[in-house]
Amino acid sequence: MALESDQWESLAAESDEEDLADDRKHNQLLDAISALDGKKKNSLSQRTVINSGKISEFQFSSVADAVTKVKLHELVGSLKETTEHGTLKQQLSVIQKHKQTVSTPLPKHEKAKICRTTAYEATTHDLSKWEPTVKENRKAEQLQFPLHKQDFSVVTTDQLVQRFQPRTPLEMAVAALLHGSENVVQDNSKELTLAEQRALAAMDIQKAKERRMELMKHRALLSYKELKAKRQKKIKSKRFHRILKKEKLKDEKRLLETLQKEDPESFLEKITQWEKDRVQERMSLRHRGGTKFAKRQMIYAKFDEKARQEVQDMLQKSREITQKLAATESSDEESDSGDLEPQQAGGSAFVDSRNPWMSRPNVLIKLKQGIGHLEENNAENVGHSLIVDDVMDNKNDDKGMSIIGGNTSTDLQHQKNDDSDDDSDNAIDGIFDKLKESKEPETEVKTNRKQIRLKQVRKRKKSHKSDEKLAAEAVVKTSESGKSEEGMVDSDDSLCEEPSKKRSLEDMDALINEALGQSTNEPAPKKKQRKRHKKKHFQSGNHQQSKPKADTNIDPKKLFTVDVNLRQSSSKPDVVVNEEDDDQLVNIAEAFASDDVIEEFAAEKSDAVRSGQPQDICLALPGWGDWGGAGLSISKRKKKQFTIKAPVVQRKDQFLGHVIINEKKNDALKKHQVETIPFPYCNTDQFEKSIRAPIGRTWNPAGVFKQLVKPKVVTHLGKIITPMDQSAISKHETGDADGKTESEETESKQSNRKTGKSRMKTNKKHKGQGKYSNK
Amino acid sequence: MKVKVLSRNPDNYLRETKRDIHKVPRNYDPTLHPFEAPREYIRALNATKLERVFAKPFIGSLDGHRDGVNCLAKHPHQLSTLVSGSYDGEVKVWDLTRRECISSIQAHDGFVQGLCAVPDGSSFLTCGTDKTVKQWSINEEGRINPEPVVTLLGKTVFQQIDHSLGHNSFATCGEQVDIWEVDRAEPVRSFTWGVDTVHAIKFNPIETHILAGCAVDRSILLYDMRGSAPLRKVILKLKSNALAWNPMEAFIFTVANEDYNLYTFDMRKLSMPLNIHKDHISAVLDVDYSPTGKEFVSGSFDKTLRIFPYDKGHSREVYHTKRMQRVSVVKWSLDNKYLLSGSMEMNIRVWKARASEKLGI
Repeated sequence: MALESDQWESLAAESDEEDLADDRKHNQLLDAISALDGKKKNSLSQRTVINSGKISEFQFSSVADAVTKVKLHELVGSLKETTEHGTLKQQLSVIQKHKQTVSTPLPKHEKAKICRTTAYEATTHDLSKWEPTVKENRKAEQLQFPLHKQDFSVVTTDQLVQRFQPRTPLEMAVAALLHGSENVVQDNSKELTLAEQRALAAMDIQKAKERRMELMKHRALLSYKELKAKRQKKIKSKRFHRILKKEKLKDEKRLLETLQKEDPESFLEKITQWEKDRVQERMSLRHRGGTKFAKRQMIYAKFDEKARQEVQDMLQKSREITQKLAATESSDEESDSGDLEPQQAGGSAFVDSRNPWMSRPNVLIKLKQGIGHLEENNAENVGHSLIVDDVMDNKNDDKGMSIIGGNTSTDLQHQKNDDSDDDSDNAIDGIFDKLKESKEPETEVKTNRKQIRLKQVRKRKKSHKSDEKLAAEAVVKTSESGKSEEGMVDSDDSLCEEPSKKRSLEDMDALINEALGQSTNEPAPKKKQRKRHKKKHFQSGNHQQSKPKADTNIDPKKLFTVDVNLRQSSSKPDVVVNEEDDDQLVNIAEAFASDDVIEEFAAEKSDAVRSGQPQDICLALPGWGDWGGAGLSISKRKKKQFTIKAPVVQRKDQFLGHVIINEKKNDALKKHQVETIPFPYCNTDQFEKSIRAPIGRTWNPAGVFKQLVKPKVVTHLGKIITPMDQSAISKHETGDADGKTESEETESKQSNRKTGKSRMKTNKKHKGQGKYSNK
Repeated sequence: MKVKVLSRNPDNYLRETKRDIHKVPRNYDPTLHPFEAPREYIRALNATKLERVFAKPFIGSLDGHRDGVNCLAKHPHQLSTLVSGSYDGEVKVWDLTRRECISSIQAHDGFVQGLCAVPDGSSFLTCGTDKTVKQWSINEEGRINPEPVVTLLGKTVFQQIDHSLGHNSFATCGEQVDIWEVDRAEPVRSFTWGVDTVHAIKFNPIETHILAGCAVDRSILLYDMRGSAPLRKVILKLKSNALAWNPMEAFIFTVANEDYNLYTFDMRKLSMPLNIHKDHISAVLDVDYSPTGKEFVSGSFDKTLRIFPYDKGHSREVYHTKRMQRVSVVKWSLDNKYLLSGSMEMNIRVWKARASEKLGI
């Protein structure tokens, strides 16, 4: 548009120039003519003002002349003649169509009012930027005045060094040393010290590179190794680890052998170390076979015979600790048997029966001895000895055999629990093989231990039947020891697994009892019953029969594997309700089962009534006008005479059944009560809690106490507190403030109503911007 | 094998230095302290009583004026320097630590109506009933140059004067509110609203272009120095005598009113005062905020000073002496520790802001 108008101007100038030249010439001519008569016409005509009707923008026109008033159509008249400037013509036509007069300005006071309103609004908005700061300060737990911003910039070492001036002689000396040294960076612009630079210069690049490569390789290898170890550690396969462990052990073994040959000193050291390990292992009370110690010891066994024994001991200990206590009972019974005097061998046998692992080596020895005897004795003797071993024992007859009998039976019992001990098993198997040879041909003895046991029992039965007489004799001879025999039989019975067998055993018991019938004392049946109980108990233990009975025997190995069934333990039958509604009803009823609301309320009310009523005052004195002495009571008459009756107070809630009206409202207290919640608190609870909490240091730790009594405002003596300054406003609000200054600039320009309105709009816009920037 | 031994942390029973208090192990279980509420009550009561017992607020008086003290001004940088003007036109500079007058000049004919310090601390301005505003230079010791640096002649009597903190301009009030700059003989801007006299004017210390005044037509007027027109007017039931801005909260100001009360306003919401502070039993003549903005002091026609929390309706303290007459002017010192009051019986009094505080005086 501007360009076009320029063009238009230049064109207009061109067209007018010719006319101008003509006019000038014409004027000059006129002047020349007038000069001819020698008189100047006037000075005005000196100015070349065109007085023609045509108006030019390049010349002044006399304003005073009403005729020459500029009209728009005159100015743009030339446009009609031209065919150019289409847009300009269009615009002009639009303007001519919509011409309006400007509205009259408002009266001065109205204008001022609007100005004031807008200015006030702007200022208010401006001031609101302080709102967050003010609120924050009001809420602050503690305000430290003056409120200057602390300088949090970190002081660097360089800055400190620059500030540092050596003063004391020591500092001077140190400074001198430092500044003289080549190992200190003197010039800050350089990174290396002089010494470093020299070293760098002296170093061969090739060598340095090689060295670096080496180091890198080393580091890489290390990291590979590390990674590998980590990966291996994560592998869950037991087999893998087992193999790994075995390999390690093997390596150790090999190492040990080589050590023994090559370096006896370190070998000795190793051995002492192992000794220490052993001690530690003993202390640890673990006594397990699979430990590192045990494995090491196995390797070590090659060099020391004791080593194997030690492991063995340890295992025994472990068994001893973890063994079930059941075995003690038989011994109890035996101790019950009164007269029985344990001889040396017999005693050891009893101890063995309690804990056979303790005397395993002895057993073996005795077994061997026994085998020797066995060859000499006949089969019948074996049978006898097996059953009435204790009798024999007491008699001191056939000592070795009796031990065999006692021990084998108990051994078998325990072997069931422990299969790991192969050595003794093998030994026992061996013995049984020998036994098989020596026994009667019709008895079939198998290597299977259970079967052996069964056979034994059968054998016993048979021997019972056949040698009843003999047994009876034996029993008669030792009347009390019979009980112990029974105990032995019982304990053997406990091993039987089939009910039928059990019954047969019971039968056998009965037989024995028949045999013992005359000789046994009164308490015998009782004891037998008890034994039976025990027997049953054992059976139940074996067959997992669910007969509820308190079992005091605790197997240490099964301590944590007991399955507790809560269902069975609950004695009450569950309430079974079919529908949900009923269920709810039941629930509600249960919930309010213990609440008797009405009764409670009644009690409360009666309490309130009682406490509200004034009491009668009895002013009677004891002894006045009466006989003196101890145990006096005031006579009724006197009491009645001197009692001041309390007036009956009518309560407001007297006839209201379900209301208690408290009439003890204290107006004196009300004066001291808080009417409104103070400023920082939001609700009553909060305020009450804060009031209730004790403040003193008697009830609070020092830190809390300090926190509680912290003053709200801290000022320092002699420090001038300046008013808050603009820097206190946080950053996000400064954007808002900038917006304000812009609007201020626009504000100064406006003078009429229209602009006032527009300014309000801009204000609103600024508000919007402010919000946006806040986000 | 792990051997368990008794172990205690020495931090629990040893103090770090000899000056620390002894560490007393205590059991804070509330069940062991059944009487905590009554004990606390007793302690609180004792503390309050002791505070009252030790309340000795009056520090001293500065006498030397030969007429009632009309105006006071704090030095912006020196806590010990105070300037006062009296009804006989005399201006005195006081050293508060020594409680003596450093210098005095006859500043005006008639009253010294207004007095204010220039923020840079090098000079102060006075205005009087002789229609002049004078600027006096003051050195660090508090000596006034007897010749005024600038004397500005006005057309009408000036009622009060105040200097803006952020701008190099000051305002006087009288028949109109004028904004002056020291190097110009004519006011740079004049505000009028109606024909009433404005008798108190104060610049906002935070938004330093905003100022407020109290007019005789019972109104409080707000101005923006940058605009051409006043901002707003609030008319109260009775005339307001003085006005003070909160130095920490830009939009809060308090006026001292003839109706014995003080009113705290939020400038953004003038339809209702934030708080009405009642306790004076006569017209309140002057008010000044503490520099922390948490309290203000007021002087009254009832010959007392009162200290009000800015958000409470009643005063926390009332100061008076037998000889003090009506208090025309009060100031709160810039370190928040002292109060200064000028009264009609020609004395300036120095008080503690906290009556029982130990200040070593």
